[in-house]
Amino acid sequence: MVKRLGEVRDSLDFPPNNDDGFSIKRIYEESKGFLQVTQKLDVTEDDEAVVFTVYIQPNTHRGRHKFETFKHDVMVFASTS
Amino acid sequence: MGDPHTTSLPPRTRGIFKFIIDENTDVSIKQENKIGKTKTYISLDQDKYAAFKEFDNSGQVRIEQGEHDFHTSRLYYVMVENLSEDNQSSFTLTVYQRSTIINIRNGVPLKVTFAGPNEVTKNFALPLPKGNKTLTLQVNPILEVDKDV
Repeated sequence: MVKRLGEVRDSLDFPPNNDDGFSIKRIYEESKGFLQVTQKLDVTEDDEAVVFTVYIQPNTHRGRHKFETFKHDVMVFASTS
Repeated sequence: MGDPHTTSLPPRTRGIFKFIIDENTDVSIKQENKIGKTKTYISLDQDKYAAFKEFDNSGQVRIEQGEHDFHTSRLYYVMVENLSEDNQSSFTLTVYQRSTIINIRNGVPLKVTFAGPNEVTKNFALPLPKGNKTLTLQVNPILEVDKDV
């Protein structure tokens, strides 16, 4: 069974539309802010999984004299409780 | 992306189709003509004269990762011209790109790197245990700036 759980965007659209059933919490750590999203699920079948995609802005911009390429490290965390 | 799109065009008309590349992997554009003679242009602009690939009738082209015209987060235009004076053309277009999914372990943070200008998405999968559960997803950018030449 494939069920679309929804979409959460970054703070540009904050507060996001909650129609998709996500609960959203804004967290601050070491002066950096980010979002945590949760959703209640009733998993009835074996071998079910959630698949999600993280999008990031294209990470090149024009520097003063040349193109500079930025590398972005991202920590991704997923859990069920 | 991935789903075949079947359509038809009246004589001497042009159809314009659009797609966006998300993944940093090669893309294939395939056209299968059922009837009619067509000319197909692939372009980053809605202008056939700016096309970087073209073919006649049925055909398949690849835009390869690292190629000059490979860009994620950009609109691509597939322009199909029906060359016939009298007959409609009917064809199926499919844009295909392989998707990579990273398995993530329950409760274990995973550091991933978006490297290079074309890496804008990453897909993850978390196996779900049975029962009533609360799913938590968290993405935390690590603000390290690596200025390489």
